[in-house]
Amino acid sequence: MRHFQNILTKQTTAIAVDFADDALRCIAIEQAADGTWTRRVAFELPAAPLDRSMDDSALREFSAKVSEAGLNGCKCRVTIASNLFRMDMAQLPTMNEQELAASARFEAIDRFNVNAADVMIQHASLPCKTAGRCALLLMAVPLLIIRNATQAVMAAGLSPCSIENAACAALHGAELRHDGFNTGLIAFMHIEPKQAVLLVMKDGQLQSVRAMQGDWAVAAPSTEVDTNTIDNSLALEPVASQDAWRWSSLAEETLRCMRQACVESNLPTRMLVTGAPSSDHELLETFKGVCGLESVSLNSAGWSTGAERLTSDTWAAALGAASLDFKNISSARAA
Amino acid sequence: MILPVMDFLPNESRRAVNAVRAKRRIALLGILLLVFSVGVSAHSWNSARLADSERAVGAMLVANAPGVDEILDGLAKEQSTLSRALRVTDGLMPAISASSVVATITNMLPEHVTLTGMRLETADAPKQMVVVLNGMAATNKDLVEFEQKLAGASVFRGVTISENKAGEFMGKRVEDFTVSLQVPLCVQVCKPGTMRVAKAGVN
Repeated sequence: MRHFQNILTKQTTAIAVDFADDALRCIAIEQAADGTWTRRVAFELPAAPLDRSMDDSALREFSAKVSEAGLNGCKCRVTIASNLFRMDMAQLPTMNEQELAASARFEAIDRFNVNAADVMIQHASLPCKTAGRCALLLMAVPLLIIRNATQAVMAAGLSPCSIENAACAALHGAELRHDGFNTGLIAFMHIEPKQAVLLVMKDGQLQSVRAMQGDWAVAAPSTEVDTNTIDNSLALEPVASQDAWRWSSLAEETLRCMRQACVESNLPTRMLVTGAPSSDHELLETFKGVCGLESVSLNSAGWSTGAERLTSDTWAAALGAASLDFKNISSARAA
Repeated sequence: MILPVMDFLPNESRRAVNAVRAKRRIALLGILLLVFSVGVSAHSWNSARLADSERAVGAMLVANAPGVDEILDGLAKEQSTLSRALRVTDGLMPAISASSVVATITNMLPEHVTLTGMRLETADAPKQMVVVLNGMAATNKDLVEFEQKLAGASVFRGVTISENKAGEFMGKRVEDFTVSLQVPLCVQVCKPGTMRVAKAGVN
């Protein structure tokens, strides 16, 4: 009956499914009149690798959880771990939107060295200081990943309405929950188990995006340790160390990225961090020591209220993706 | 928004998702329609069955009950019987008793007039009492006086000296006479079988 109700009535709950590297997360939140986000449902399942179809037992468990939460038939937004995406910045001559889309596609195929038929490519225009040029953020993800994610979500009884990069979704959530993104030069870092994404913004405009692969789950003491299988990941030495300097390689790479992004200006003075390790005081201290900037954890676990407190800061992507629906829900409610 | 939403859901997947949702919605609406139709059909069938049962009961009652014509015939017969009984009762119990009429006429007799016979009959149409008086008067003057007294009474109508001839009684000459008159009963029957009210009475 709940299934039928979800299909026939206007949806008042924003739902997101996050295919993270360490877990599959699903969250359903509602926004109160005062802007508070209230969790209706939040559950975690073992990680579902998207390079292959979700196995039957995991799918059954996912379906059962969705059904138990009464979310059958609901629309949801999907986020995928950033390390499954290829991303790069590019500058192209100024052109109209259609030409830009075609050029961005060619540029992405060329840069990422991928088969056009096997990947899904998207781009976003960024502000560019050079006259007659436009800056682009290029992203590509294998269609196989998209198909597997879509099929898993649909098989679980949900209807995906968008698929997004987890770091970008986390940025949306952070932008909604925290002030100060629109003034000054600030850095935003979303740390996932296998990749950290650094976004540098100036006066509310994205300047640079860099992805840093590494075993950040190993570095984070609160998360599950996984074997490093990434060939080009940064070395973490030593991984077993519990000292603050285990974050030094990430901090140093961050500093290099920021220097590259801010060639013509000062370095950011503030860094906002989301992701599982963001609550690690030593991470923030390392950033402060190495990069010389104030680092603040955005504490995504506290973005929403609910019966049970979220156990870690790993929900930023899911919350950020779900929050995109609040505008639609508000207009649907008003109608 | 700092970074626009970069949606990687392919159009064919979006169409597939929408198709699945549409299919579910159509299936649901179909099921609802089916349930509704079955419900309406069941209700109609029950109603039809109920109506049939009621009709059957009605037909049985009509078949077993006496007809209206028979009831009306019975009532007409009863009314006729009651009317006959009423007429008999009217005949037996006139509105004005004969003794009152006799007493009234006797009181009106002059000093030299006497009655030798009297006949009272009740006529139906018009409803009245016909009185025929036979008597002797000493003189014609006495007879006329008697006739005038009768005619002067409001309760008597049609006072007529139908016969007047000379006679002899105990060696004296007398006038034998016959006078006829009617006493209207003016009986009004309010309802068959109930009390009758006379408009005219006798003092």
